[in-house]
Amino acid sequence: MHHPFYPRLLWRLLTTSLALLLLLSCSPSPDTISFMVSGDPAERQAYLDLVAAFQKAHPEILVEVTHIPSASTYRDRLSTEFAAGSPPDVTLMNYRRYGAFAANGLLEPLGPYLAASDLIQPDDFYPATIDAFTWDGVITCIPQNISSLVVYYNQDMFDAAGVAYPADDWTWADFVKTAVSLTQDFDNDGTIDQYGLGVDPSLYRLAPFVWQNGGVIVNSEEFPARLTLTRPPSQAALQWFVDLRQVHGVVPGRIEAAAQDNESRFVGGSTAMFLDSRRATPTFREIEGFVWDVAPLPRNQAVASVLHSDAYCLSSTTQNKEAAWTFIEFANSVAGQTIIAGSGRTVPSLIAVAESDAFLDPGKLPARSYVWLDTATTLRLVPIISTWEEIESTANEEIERAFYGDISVEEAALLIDSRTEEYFLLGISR
Amino acid sequence: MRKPLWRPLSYQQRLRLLLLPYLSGILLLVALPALLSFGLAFFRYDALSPPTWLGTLNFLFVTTDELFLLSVQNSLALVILPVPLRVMGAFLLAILLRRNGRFLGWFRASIYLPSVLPTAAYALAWLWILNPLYGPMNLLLQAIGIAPPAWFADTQWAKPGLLLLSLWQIGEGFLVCLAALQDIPSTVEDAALVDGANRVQRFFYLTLPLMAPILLLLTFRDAILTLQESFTTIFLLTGGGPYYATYTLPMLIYEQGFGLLLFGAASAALWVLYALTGLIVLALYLIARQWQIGTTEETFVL
Repeated sequence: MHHPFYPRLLWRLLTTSLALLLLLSCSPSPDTISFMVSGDPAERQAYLDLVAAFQKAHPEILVEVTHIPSASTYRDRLSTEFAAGSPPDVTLMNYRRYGAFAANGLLEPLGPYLAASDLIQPDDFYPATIDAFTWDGVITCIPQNISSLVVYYNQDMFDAAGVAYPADDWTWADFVKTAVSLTQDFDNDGTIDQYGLGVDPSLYRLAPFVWQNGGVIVNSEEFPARLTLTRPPSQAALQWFVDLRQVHGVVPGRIEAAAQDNESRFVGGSTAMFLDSRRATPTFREIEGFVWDVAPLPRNQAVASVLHSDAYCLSSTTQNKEAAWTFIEFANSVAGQTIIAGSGRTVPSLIAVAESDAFLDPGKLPARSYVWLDTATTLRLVPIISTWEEIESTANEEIERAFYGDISVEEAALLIDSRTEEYFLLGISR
Repeated sequence: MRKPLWRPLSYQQRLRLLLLPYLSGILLLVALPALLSFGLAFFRYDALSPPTWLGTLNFLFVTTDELFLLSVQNSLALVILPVPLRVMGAFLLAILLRRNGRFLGWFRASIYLPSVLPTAAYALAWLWILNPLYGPMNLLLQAIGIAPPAWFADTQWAKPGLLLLSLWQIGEGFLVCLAALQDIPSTVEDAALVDGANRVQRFFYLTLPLMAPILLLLTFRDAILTLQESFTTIFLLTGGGPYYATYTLPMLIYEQGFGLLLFGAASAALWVLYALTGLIVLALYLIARQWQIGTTEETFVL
């Protein structure tokens, strides 16, 4: 016989669990703000320290940190959260990405807040960073860093090969020569044991070389409508970039790159130079096997590098904007930026902090941190348009194919132009 | 005796009651969003501003996307070969391991194990196994003198790589086959033995026809699942690359929706995926009807 089963019991169970659910989903107190960042463990710790310092100064505001380890997941997560209508109050965004949100009115312009602040003023920041986050003439997010692409190099490898460290004014020719002499097959088995250079084949990495060659990556910085790698000086720069792999063979090939990424190769001590922004520094500080440093990008006709910058943005749907602003203001005050700079992660956007020991700390690697500050005046921006992410990723596919020899540089330049056209049409630029 | 307020429910009623949470879940979380997305497919909607009517433009927009045809081809390729292999694999293993033996229990558990792992962990493990230079697979191939492929770094080998890792995720199919095999009455088997049927004959004239409806059901399920749920694996392992070699329809939907915030276009693409799924199920059904498996009165599947 089956046991009798009473709907009443089921009903009671249902109501109890519903009540529990309601209780658990109660909205947080009004002085709680949510803050979302991405980054590796070292960066995460820096932001936790920042929040801890803030809690001490402002015990009345509670900050809940959400940390997303991978940068690409972070971006999708941002879109999803904003689309769902309940984004984090404060988010850290790259200047190549905030356009998609600013274009849709999802970010509270912070210019008026900054103007009213007693702690920070626009003039305290490097102008390039304020410019990067100015949308429709209004400062939209508050920049936290002014990083740029530099050359990380393994000093021990340079010493072993008897090669001079890169000078502050080295040229394309010096760069290639250095990379060639550091690319070595020690046991002559036909497999390269040490590569001179590691660089990701992408538009963001390529851009400064195009500028150094007198070229442009878009037709107009103000009204970007297409990528212009087909123009002679731009295409020549792309050719030079591709030749690093195809002619000089100083960069790992496709299979080697798939087996181990460039950053791990540098950390593992099988690549002599590696192009990256300040982002890599906290991880590299954990290297024990060798001494490393940074040098500026080489120069050609012009001196140029590319801005890497992130900013604190405030969601326009945030309930408690004042509390959120208090946090953003604190994070970008001298005290706040000093904490983050201490992790090694940022090149502070506040001139005062950047020029202090918090950043130039002589006791910590890299010894030549001043390189980032010297570069600050030669920085250029990629265009700020809401669909830039798609434009970059589509262009990267073709740059990668040219880099690994599947198609010619001419073909890649043409494909990049035609395949990204649609995204320029869909996009909204500032 | 005090009469209960309500009469105890009958067995049938209780079964229905037990089904209720699942059914309402499906209605709320699957059917309703699917219907909503069908409506959305006719609007331009970025989830941030109110939708605007577009008519059928989204369908035109999606199907003329330069990556659309490629994504459909890739999606189909990742169903046509892996699904039959997986179902047959589950079936054959179930036959091999159905008896009780000392180690057979362990074998059965180990076959189910890959299906228990979270997809993300499973995918990342395979990223290491198939690492072109340092992965154990290629080290093994090299050791026995075979030139190893570059797997996910090679446009030709990325799909076979995905096929290879999906072959081990057959736990559910295996379990269903095992249960179904135990349902075959031993009298039938005994009768065949008396008639002098050998092992091969018993397999082809007895086990296979009796199992056909189950296998058909598993094939339906696997095809539908592979079309939609291969997304996680592909997203983590290849991101659709190298050079779109594993760029499937769900990847396209994801990029339209969450990359470009074109939820209308993404919904249109989603309904293309549903239509594709429907076509595959229909094709399978027609084949089954032609062969008279699993579609007759005595069997229960359709």
